[in-house]
Amino acid sequence: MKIGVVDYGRAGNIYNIVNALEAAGADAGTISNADDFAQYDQLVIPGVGAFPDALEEIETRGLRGALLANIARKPTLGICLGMQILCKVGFEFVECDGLGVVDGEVRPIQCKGPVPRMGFGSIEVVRPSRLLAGVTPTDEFYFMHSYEVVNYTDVTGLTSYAEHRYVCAFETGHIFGVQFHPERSREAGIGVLKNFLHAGE
Amino acid sequence: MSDERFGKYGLPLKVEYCNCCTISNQRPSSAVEFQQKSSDKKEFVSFEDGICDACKFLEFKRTIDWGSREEELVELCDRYRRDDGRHDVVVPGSGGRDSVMAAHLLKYKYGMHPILITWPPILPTNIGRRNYDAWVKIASCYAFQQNKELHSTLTRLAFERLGHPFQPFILGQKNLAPKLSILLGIPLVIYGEHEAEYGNNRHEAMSPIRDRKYYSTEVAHRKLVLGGTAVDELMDEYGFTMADLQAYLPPRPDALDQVGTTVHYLGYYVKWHPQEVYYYAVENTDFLPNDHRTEGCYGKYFSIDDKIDWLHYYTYHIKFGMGRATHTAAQEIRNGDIRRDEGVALIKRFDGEYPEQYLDDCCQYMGITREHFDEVIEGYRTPHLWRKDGSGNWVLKHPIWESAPGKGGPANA
Amino acid sequence: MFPKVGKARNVTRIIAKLDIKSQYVVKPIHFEGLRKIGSPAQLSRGYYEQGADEVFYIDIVASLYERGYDLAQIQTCAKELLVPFAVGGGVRSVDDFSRLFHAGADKVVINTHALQECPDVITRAARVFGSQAVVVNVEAKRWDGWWECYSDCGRIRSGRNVLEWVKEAVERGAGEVLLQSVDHDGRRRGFDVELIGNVIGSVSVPVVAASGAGTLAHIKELLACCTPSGVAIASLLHYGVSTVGEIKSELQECA
Repeated sequence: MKIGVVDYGRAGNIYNIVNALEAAGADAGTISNADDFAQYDQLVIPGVGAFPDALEEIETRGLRGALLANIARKPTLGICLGMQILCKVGFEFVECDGLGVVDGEVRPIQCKGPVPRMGFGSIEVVRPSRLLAGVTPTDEFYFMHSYEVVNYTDVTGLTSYAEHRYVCAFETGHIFGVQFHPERSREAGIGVLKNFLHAGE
Repeated sequence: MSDERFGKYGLPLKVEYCNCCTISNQRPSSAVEFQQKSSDKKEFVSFEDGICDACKFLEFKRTIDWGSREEELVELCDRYRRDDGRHDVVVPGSGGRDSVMAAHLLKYKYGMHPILITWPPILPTNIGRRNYDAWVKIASCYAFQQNKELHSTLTRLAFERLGHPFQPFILGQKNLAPKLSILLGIPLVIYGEHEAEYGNNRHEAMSPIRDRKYYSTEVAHRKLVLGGTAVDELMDEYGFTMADLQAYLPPRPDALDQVGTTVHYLGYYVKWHPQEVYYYAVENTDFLPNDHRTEGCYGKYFSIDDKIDWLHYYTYHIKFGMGRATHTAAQEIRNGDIRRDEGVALIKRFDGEYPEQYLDDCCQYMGITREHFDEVIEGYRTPHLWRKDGSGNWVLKHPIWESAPGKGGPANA
Repeated sequence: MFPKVGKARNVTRIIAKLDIKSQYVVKPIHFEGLRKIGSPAQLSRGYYEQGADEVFYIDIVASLYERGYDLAQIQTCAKELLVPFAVGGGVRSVDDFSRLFHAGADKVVINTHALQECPDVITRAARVFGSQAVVVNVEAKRWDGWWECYSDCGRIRSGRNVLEWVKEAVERGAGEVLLQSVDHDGRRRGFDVELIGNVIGSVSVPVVAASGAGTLAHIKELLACCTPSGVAIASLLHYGVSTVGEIKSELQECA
């Protein structure tokens, strides 16, 4: 099972994602240009970046076409920003079109606590989910973000923070998005990555 | 001696750096201060196989059996400890980390009853005063106060005639403790750090006892030299009396013999790692480092209690090409705290900074102008060490960062 | 609606802070001294296993010595962890941020260069990496009625007021503040609670309080007065006084 982590240039905590995927049992590598996609069975789009800049880098590196084509065919997991850029539009710094793979919007998180949200929290699995199989109410995952996905319906997971409940996971067909960082969520996160490894089955 | 190999101050013309630390061969060893005249040629620190005396001493230190040295200390303390609870050891200092650790260890670990004594800084800094206050929480202290008129005159003369404004401080610091030993009838005097740590006559470090020649003399007092000025001249031309000058002059050996004064270094008995001494002081007392980096250096706790110290290191840099950062880095390399290349980077960044912070205070104290200060400094600049760059600034001809990287100390291993 | 699950729990992150010099974790006091504590990789692993929520790795001499950071060592530590790893020390450019994210950082921490030379690096970094990945490290020195920002491992003054600087840094896009105190760090006599409360009140981003924990009581006292998003602990852990687990249990009892 070979998993390619999309390296869209300057951003993305690539090193940690690759290592976590390997800890989950995958053979992982990075995708820096359009030709790299072919060797991978599944894709991960990393987090730790900003919406407009990420889209711009994907464009300038000539990755957009190949990325969309591969997302259409291969199980894809978007993590944090990676989940957000799958959406239709984002509002980080400026209004900016996303990849449009799913129908959501990415807007600033509205809550009563410090923003960005920074810390561990539990998630509520609200629909049967292959990705979140086995996740319990006491499992904790790391959240590190200032924007959330709204106006989207294939929601599998919700989370609560500072009196605000919002989407932390969606799943449609073979496309998965998580707002939290499974590569930094201890064994619970590795469990989610393992589920992703089997997503193609 | 007019020898092609030697330049000003009798220093070797060829600049070499210790292979281990950052000290160069342009370094004089400890003079007998009360005989120092401006015409004196320096004895400079020797390199053996490219390694300086201080580093050689540290190499030797790593072989010492500290257990048996501690036994010697315990035996020393047992010999001098009073069982009526009265003072039984004189601990000189002013609240710097060395005297803090010395006093604290002797009192709390070795059961002694120290009396602290202070020859105060020429111009105390705020942090110096504050740490002095913290120090005297450990025990009582005899603080001598110098005659300000004389002290400022001597500081100025020492600066003008020797390029060594710190000398009046050193004179008193080395003499006061043995004199108080005589006065109080307490034979045992214990300093903290051994001077051999800095390359002063390594063979002397084999003994815990400070050589009497550094703090006593049989030479008639009128024949001695203070601030580069003969005592005769200070009396006849400056109008000071023997009563005024007494404080700077060493005691006579027979007076010391009567009490049985013996001066020891705690650094012989206890492994003296300056960084760990800092930690000891901070962890066990209210000692504080300074609240900002010292000019000319990168650290916050080395020699911070006297404003004249800033001038001292600056004049040292002018004369010998080595300032505070060089000395601090050299010591930290020897002790394994930093690597040689790290020390070199710090020296390049900070060494020899103009002592702006306290210059006005120091000049006012000495009764001179800044212009006069700069003029006098230039007279001490060593020609074979300095040149002017394209912009007319003085730069070192052979700075350490342009010399070959040495093998370094323990941290480089 | 979906029922709430789980009980109320203490949510303050417990973060292990590693001050790095060359190949060692060290522990200065008042940002002075380089006493060696141990191996960065081993300590990262150890604190992770104790339950640390995050590890902060700060090369404390990179700016002072005017040199770079050790990517290989950072990678080695990152590999030991499955929790967020914040890395800083000697960061001077957006390229530095990028290199660090590609070598195991999940967040990058910056102080000296942004404070003393180029605050704009914060703005540019936030545009590329997102605010949540940009942490500003503050070394605060207390004066009479205000706190000043220091740099170069608590050595060099900046003249900037801490409360003004954190506001500026956050406006520029920093998403988290690591708040250290030059007066309290390493002394194990408690936090500068007034400083921490004031900074929390000045910004809307998470604040990680550091410097001064010597006992569990110090942490409890701090949390009784204000609510930092996390506390960064060094001496208490390095000297084996408490474990992360013990800290969390103690705080949980009070939650």
